[in-house]
Amino acid sequence: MRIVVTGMGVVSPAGCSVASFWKSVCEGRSCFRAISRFPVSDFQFTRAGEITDFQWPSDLGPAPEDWASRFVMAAAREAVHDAALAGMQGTGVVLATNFGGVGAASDFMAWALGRKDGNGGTFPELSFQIAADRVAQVWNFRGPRLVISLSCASGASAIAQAADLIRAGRARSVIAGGYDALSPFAWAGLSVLRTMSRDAVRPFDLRRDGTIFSEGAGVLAVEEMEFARARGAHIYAELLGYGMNNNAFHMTAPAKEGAGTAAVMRAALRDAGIGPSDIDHINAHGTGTKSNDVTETQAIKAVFGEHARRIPITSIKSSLGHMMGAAGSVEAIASLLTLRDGIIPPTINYEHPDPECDLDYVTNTARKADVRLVLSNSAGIGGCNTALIFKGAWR
Amino acid sequence: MKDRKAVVTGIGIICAAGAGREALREALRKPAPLTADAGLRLPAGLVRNFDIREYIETEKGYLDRTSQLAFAGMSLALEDANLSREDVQKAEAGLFLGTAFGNHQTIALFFEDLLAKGPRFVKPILFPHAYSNTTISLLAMEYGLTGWHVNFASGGISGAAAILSAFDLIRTGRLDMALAGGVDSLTEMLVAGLQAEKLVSSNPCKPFDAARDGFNPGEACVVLVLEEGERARRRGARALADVLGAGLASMNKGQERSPAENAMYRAMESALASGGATPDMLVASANGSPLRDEAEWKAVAALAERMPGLNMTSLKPLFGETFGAEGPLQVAAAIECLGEGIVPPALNLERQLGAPPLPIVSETAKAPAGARALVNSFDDGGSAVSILLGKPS
Repeated sequence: MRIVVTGMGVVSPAGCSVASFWKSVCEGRSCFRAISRFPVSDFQFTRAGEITDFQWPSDLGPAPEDWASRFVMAAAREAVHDAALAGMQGTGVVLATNFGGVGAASDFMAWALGRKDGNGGTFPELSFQIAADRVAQVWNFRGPRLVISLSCASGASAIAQAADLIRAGRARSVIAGGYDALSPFAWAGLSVLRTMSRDAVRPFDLRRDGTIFSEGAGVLAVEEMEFARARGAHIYAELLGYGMNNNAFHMTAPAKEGAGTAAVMRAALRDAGIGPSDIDHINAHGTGTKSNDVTETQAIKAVFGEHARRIPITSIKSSLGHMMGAAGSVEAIASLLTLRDGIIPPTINYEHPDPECDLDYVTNTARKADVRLVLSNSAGIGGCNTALIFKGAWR
Repeated sequence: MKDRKAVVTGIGIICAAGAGREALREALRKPAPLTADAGLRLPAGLVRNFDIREYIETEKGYLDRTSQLAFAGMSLALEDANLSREDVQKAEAGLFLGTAFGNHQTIALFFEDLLAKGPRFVKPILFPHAYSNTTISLLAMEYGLTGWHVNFASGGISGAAAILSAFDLIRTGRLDMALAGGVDSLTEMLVAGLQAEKLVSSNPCKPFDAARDGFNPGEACVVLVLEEGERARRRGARALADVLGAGLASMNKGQERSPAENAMYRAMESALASGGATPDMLVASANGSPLRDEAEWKAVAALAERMPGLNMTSLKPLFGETFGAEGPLQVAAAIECLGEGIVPPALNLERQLGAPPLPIVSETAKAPAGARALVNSFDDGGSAVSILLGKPS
C-alpha cells in the first residue's frame, strides 16, 4: 500500500500559510523577537519564535481560548482546503504535541491552587485529545482520531502514525500534524533545560550555543494513493517509509554517537525499501545545541558512509526556531517543498566550521538541487526519534 | 498482506483492587462497589499500599505517581509473561503506552513553583518529568527498549489505542512482540477539575441506570504483553487470550443523527467485522455519566441483533473510571472473565436507562462468559475503541 501527501498547512513565526512560510525560510529570515504574549522580565531567556500576525479564520467558528488549538485548527484548515478533503467524513485526525493545552490549562491549575486569577473552566484542556476533537468537529471528520505525544519528535510521529492507520486499513485519508504554543509553563521549563541560545540558532557551527523555541503548527493531508488518485487529488509526494524508536539512554542527553538517530534512519530506509545511496537530501533535526548537531552528524556518517559527504543537509531551525511538537511536521512540509521546487532552504548563521560537523551543510543561502528522495529527522526529550522519507510525486 | 495472530501472553495490573492478576480475579469473583476515600470525600478507585521499591531496582531521584504506577504495571506484566529484560530486548519489543493526564502531578508542582517563586527558582528536575511521554521513555530506558515507541495522549481511549496499534503492527507483520497498556493517576487537583466539570458522583456510580449522576474516579496501570501467535507458541509462552479484532472510530458533538454515526457503534462493528466473530460478553465503557452511558446504550441496542446471547456488564463500580488505563484494564478483566467463566454484574443498577432493556448482568444472576469478549473504551470528546478477544485457540 502506498501513502501520499495531498495537502499542507502551516502556522509559524515565519508566516501563517505554506507560501509565506516557504518564502521566509528560503530567504533565511530570522523569526525571533521578544516574547509579548506573557511577561518575560523574570525569565533568563526572552526571545522566541512567537507568532504575532496570526488571524483567526472566522469560518472555523469561535476561537478556543487555547493558542495551541487555534494554531493547529488554522493549519488544518489550510491543509484540508489544499487537499480538498472537506466532505470526506471518513477522514481521520492524528495530532501530536509536547504541551497540548497547558497554556490554557494553567488557568485551571492556578484556580486549583486557590488563586484569584485562576479559571476552573479550562480543566478540559489538560487532556490533549481536545485539539483533535476541535479539528474533527469543523469538518465532521469521523475517522480514527488520536493524539500522540513524543516530545519534539511529535510532529513527524503524527505523520508516521497516520500512515500506520492507513496501512492497517483503518482510514484512507488522515489529517496529521504537530502543534504547540508558547506559554509561561513551557517557557519556564525550556529555560531550565539549558538548551537555549540567547540570540541565534547556529546549527553545525563551531560557536553554536543552543536552540531557540518557536510555536505554531504544521499539518499534512496523508492518504492512501489509490484513494487520492480516484478522487483526483493533487499529490505532492509519496511517504516512502518511516521509523520511530527510542534511545533508551537518557531523558535529556542524546545517545552516544547518535546511536538512536542512526537506528531510526536505518529503520526508515528499510521500511522504504531503499539503500542509503538513494537519499539525496536530509532535512536535519539540527537544533543548534552542542550535542545534537555533532551526534546527528555522527549518525548520518554511520548510516550513509561515504555517501554522507554527498548529501546536502540543512536545518531550518536556524531561521524558524524549534517549533517543539510542530517541528517535525513543519520540517516535513519544508522537505516536500524542496522536492517540489528543487530548492533547499539555508542553514543560516553559519560562520565557523566545526571539525566535528564536517558534512555538506547548505549554509546561509538557499541552494538549487535536484532532489528526488529526502529524509527528515526528528528527536526529542526522553530519547524519542522519528525519521520520514519522502519521494517527489512526479519522479 | 497475510494476517497473523496476536495473542496476549502476560498481564501486569495495578489498580484499586490491588497489584497483580490474583487481586483482579478476586475483585471479579466478589464484586464490591468502591468506598468513599477520606481525603477526596467521594468514592474513588485509588491504588493503596503501593510501594514503588517493590518494582524497580535502579536509582530514581524523582518519579511522578503516573510513572511509578507504570513501572509497577510493566514489571508485573513481564513477570506474568515469564520474560526477562534481556528477552524483551532480544525480541525488539515495541512499547505502546496511553495516558490521558500524563504526569499532571509534576506539571502542577512545577507550575506552583513558577507562580510562587518565579521562573528562575523552579526545580529543574521536575520539568523533564512533566512531559506526557516521560513515563514511556523512562520505561524504555529502564528495560533497554530501543524499538517502536508511541505514547498516546488520546484521553479516555489512550490505553485502548496503544493496544490497537500494537495489534495492528503484529497482525500486519511489522512487529513480533509489544508491551502495550495505559496508565493514569489520581490527584486532588484532578478530582477538583472533574468536580468543577460536574463529571463525578458523590455516590457509588450507577452505569446504565436511569438515575446515574456521574462516575467515580480511579487510577491504574495495566500493561499487556502481546505476541505474534506462532512466536509465542515457539517460546512455550502461555497464551491468555487471542486478540481477534479491533475498531477505532469517532463522532462529533451535535452531529450524530443515527446509530451508524455513533462512534461506539462503528468501533464495535469494525471490531466484530475484523474479528469475524460475535462476542458472548461485553465489558462496557459506561461509567455512570449521563451522556456516555446513553451513547453506548444506543450503540449496543443498534447492534443487539448481531450479538445474540450476549451478557454485558460495566466494571466501573469496581475500579472507577481510570481514563487512559480504562481500555487495558477492561481487556485484562475480560481475559480473566473468559478464564474464570463468569461475567460479574453491573453493580448499583436498579432501573435501566432505556427500553427495550439490554442484557446487562444483574447482581442476582449468574452469567457465563462464553468464548469471546468485546471490550469498549470511550473518550467523552467522541472517540471510541472496541477490542474483540477470544479464549486462546
